Amino acid sequence: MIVLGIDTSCDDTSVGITDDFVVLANIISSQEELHAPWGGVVPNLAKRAHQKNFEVVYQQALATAKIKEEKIEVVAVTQGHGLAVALEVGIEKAKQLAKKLRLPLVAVHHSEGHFVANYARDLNNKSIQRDKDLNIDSTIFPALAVLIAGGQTQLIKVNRVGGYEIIGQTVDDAIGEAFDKSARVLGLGYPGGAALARAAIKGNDKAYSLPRPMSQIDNLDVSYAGLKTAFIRQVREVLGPESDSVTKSVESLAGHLTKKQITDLAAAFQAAAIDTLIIKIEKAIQKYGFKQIFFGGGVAVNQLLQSKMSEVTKKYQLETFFPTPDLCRDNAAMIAIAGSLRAKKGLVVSNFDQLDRQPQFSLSEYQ
Amino acid sequence: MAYNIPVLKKQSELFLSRSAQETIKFGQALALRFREDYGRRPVIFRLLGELGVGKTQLVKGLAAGLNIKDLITSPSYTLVNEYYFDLADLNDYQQLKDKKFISFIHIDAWRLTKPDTFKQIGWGKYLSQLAVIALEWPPQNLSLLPGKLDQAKIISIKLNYQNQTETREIFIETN
Repeated sequence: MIVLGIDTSCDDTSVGITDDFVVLANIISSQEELHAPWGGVVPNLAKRAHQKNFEVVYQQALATAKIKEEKIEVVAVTQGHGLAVALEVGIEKAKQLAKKLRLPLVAVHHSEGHFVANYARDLNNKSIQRDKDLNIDSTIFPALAVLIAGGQTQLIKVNRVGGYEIIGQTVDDAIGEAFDKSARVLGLGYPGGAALARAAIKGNDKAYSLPRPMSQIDNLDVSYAGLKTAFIRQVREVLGPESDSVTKSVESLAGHLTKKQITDLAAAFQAAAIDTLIIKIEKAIQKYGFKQIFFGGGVAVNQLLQSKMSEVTKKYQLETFFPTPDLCRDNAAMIAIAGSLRAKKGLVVSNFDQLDRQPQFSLSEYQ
Repeated sequence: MAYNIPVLKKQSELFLSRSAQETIKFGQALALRFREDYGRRPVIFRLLGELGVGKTQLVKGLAAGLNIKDLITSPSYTLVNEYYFDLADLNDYQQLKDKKFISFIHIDAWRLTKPDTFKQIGWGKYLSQLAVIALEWPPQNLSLLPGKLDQAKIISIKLNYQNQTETREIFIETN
């Protein structure tokens, strides 16, 4: 089944085309360049850019997939969660295309997209998983999905494809947000998370000691705001009397740090952020006996996370799956894959006019 | 409910919070102080203060004071999070018999650098709905934004770090 997927949930405009699980095209027009001078995603730019980019990205997806638009059988679009003003652009485009091509329209939850991205296959119909052949029939349910990005941090018990239960989440900031904000404190720019991880490679994570918030609490929730605050306090401590918190703003601190202090602080932060998550993943394994863990979201590409997870994988004798980077981050091929699974179950939108963006789309309301 | 409601004596007040928990409790009490205004005019809590100082913690408190049970998480990525509360839950002041739902809007305006972006996230709509708005990283001058402010209750809350401690100074000013 040839499915066109559209995702405009935040700062990337993406169009993907899949044939069942085979990714024919996955075009992501990153707006990072556009946003860089503002130190963040500037939303009205995002909306205008989505409108401007969409046609280009769509044509590029058709060309990459080497298909004519008449071959598309289903249109799938992210309904939520995401940035309201950005989501509505994708939904509008999806409705227009579905009407024009007289096709069924499927509304997808962004989180389901991240989970099913793990099942993607390349043009040779080979699983994207390194050294493994993953497909839905070989999935051992319930499975654990760990979705970690700029806007989300969730541990999800996947009872089946389409049946999700959030068993742990952040009580304040998302993990990617904590990376980005800590990078801001270290003067590492935007997007800061990746830059912080790069800086951390050269640093000594033992140079400073940061807490693992909520690790003593027996639930599966995490708090990254707590870590962020502890990190800022640590940076001030490093600067000692140089840092007078009343007169010096948080964002001016980085200018007083040495290169070694920056890399050590980055390493200490990253170790704490990843540990905090690993502690809860282990608790989830112990509680539910998961045999398979699926990752998704931009933070899932983090190298420290992946190497720590290989230890967890050995310790509990389970399997861990990571999508390739372009399928980890926000992308539309994952939406197309979710769309094909839903279309096959007949879960299509019956009235296009009633389909509206859901910025805070709850997973439990999504069946 | 035996909250220690801060008494408004003058235009500007100073409080001290020694922990995130205290900041939440403080927000809870503060939300109750303006219960006569809810549903009658838009109420805007402007939250000023640096990264990590506890702005979102204070918003958690405001939401608790409004009897909102949802988990309040950071709006940094989504820009706006929408919640609802029932005015009848606080009705000892307004003596409502029926449910009356009011929007509680949590905004992180760090990335909203132009008035136009406020329009797009629905700022004018929230004001006309008489919503209660918690606004982190507010622009200097709210009156430059699209939407009617003349009836609005505006409470400015400034959180400051005290040197190298958990303690925060919280300044309150109302219009």
